[in-house]
Amino acid sequence: MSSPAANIATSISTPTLDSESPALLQSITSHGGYAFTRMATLAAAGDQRAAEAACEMAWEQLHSGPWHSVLPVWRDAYSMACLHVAKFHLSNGEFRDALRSLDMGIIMGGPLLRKDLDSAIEGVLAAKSRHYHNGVADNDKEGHGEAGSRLLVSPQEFDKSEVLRILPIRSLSSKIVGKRSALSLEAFLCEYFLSGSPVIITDCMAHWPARTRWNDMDYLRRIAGDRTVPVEVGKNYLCSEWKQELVTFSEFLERVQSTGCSSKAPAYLAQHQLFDQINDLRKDISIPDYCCAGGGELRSLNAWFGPAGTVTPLHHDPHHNILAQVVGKKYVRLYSAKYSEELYPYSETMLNNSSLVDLDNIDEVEFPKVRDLEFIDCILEEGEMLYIPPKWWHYVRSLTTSFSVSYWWSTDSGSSMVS
Amino acid sequence: MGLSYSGKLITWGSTDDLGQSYVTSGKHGEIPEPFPLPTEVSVVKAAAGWAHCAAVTETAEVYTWGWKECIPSGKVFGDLPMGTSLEKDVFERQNSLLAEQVSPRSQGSRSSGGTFSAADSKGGGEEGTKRRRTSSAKHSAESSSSGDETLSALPCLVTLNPGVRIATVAAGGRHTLALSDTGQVWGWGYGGEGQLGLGSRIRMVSSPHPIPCIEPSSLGKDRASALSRGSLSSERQSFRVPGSYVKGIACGGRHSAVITDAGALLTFGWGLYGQCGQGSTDDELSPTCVSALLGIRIESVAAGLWHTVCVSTDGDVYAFGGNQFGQLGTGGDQAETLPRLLDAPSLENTNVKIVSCGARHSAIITEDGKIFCWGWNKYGQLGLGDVIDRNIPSQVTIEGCSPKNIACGWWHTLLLALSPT
Repeated sequence: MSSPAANIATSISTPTLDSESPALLQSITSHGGYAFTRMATLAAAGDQRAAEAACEMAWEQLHSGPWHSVLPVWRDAYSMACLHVAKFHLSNGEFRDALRSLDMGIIMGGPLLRKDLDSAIEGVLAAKSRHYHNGVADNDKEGHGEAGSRLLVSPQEFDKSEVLRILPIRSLSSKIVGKRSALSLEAFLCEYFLSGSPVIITDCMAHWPARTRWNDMDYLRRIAGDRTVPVEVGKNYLCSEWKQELVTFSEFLERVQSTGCSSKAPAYLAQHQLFDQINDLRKDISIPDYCCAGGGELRSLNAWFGPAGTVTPLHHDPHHNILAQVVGKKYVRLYSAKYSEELYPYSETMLNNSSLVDLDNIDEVEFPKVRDLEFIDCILEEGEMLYIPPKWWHYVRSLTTSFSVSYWWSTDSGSSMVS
Repeated sequence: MGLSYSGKLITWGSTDDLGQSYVTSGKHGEIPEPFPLPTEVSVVKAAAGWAHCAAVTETAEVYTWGWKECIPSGKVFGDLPMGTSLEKDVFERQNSLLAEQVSPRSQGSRSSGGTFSAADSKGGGEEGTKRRRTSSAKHSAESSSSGDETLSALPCLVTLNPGVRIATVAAGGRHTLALSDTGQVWGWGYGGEGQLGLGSRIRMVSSPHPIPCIEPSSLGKDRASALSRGSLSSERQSFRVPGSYVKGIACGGRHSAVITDAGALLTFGWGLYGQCGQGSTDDELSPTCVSALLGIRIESVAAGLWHTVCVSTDGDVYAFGGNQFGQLGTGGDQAETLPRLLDAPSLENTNVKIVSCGARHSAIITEDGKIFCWGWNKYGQLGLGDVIDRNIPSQVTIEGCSPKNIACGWWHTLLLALSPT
């Protein structure tokens, strides 16, 4: 029954790999990767164990020294090995394993073979869907096929008085970020962008398919369930216990749903270029017109997806930022870019855009200046966008399960100011 | 690639599938055969790193070959006589214990309790002492490797200062250490994390540099105080390191360890996983005494990609560094930034004599001839008959042989044993 599908599924085309392999292998060999080259050559000739060994070797090299010192050729080597491994999984009908290998290549690999990885993902997804349309049951789907869709955020989840007890002191007690409905680009430019003032823009993402689809667990699982994503585990990135893990989107969704019920630390899919990786999710959103303000260039689209209680500690970024709240609610507090010493930035270069002040537990003896410092804040509701000007300090806490998208862009003058 | 003489050789792990030692040396042969050095002189010590090899001759010279980045400028034997048919080299078989004595170490302090010397490092396969005669051979005659010849360096005679005689070598991920017969350490290769111990993050050292390990001299002080973390380092260096010369060396992936004659352990290089044993995850740019072990005489040391294991004269094992695969043998997977005594029941009442580390696994031999391995086992490198990682020392039982030495390659393990008479 499934043999026609199996035939279709047995190969993915990798034009870049095919043309670049000899040069890449030569470069890897010149960097001491004799064993990798041998394994990759055996893999190309049909040896699955060699493909896995090559992948293991490249992974080891990616971790063989400080991240910045890893020779770039090993990132491309890793992508190459992931493509080989994925081909074997696909020919064995192991769709999820194939997707995992390809995603690992996308997440940790280099740029050279990225196109091949992306098109291989499309190929595996298509093969998988053909396979299951041919009457083969997908166990994973069966297990979750109850009637009625499961909502990511149910409306009654939110309790405002409860929230005020959780938020940092003085929250929502002073100036609130102004809201403008369907703001024109010109008004955005003149009134906010040029003066560097934050604003909440409402009613401008109602048409996004994401607004309804992303609150549907089954939709997310169907579109992205087998895809591997990096998540952050631990209170926040400034904590010592913090670490990153690679999990499938399905596993991540389960963890989001069970947060609070289990003792496990919350997992947060934060600052990941999810939409470059998962095309179907990219199709659910648009790029707001505001992001071309200043003749700027879009720097990155990041996903921020996690349970209630995730915190991004007080920090600032060099770019213009629109934070679009697709599902759920977030509390955001903003301090003007003019403040610096009052917020006690870290001295290390890596963290000098982060504040030493923990707003959830302010040490007023150590950081006396922060207590009376003026700020503006808001609860960013579903369907709203917040404009955060460059260098404005921000603290973000999710109040419900939350899925947001951030758009970073910079103008020429902006980027020169930054660098 | 490790060969014995009167004893037998047992190999396991990835050598067959992955040919680590062969490809490391620029050869791709599946069958062990002599590596053709441009000299007839006997090799007394050898070590293999991630992608390069180094060998010490009977005349105290060092040859090194493999990944070009790791090969210092020196006399290169690139134009070996062409057209010579690859002569089948013949091993001069002789008693291994006798061979051991061929090159008496002037310090003589390395032999452990009357047994034979431990392997030098994770030396891929070319174990400690081995006598072999090599003849000039055409490298490119090696099957399937012709394309790589220009990409890897041919054996190069390392240029040393006049009068410097090398006793042993250690090879790491991207660097090499050599120990002279007077107990002075020399290093070359990549030093970006301080693994060359020169007080800086110098990225490339293309000729052997002396590494100041024990230095009452003012030069050392100046060097230490020139560091960015100057005050801290000079403070650390201000007490005198016990000992007057270095008697043992080891290279990890990006870190190094040396032992003084008084049994002090010094570490330097990459520290992210705690592999320098200094209680932090900082890199150590100069040889720094592992103060937690002061008062314990360390006899030998080995280092892996992210971890370090050492053995005291009392036969106790201490491990520190990365532990993702159980390579510390502590029973968990938590990294240790300070030396941790392995107190597993299986090691009770035994004295450990020999230690070796692979990239992510460790192996020891005890005084009473037991073998224990732990860590990463994906390719069977623990010799336990399966591919399950172990996080505690696990005994390898081999009927009817008397283990003499053990050497972990990057992803495999070699055991040298005497067969029953």
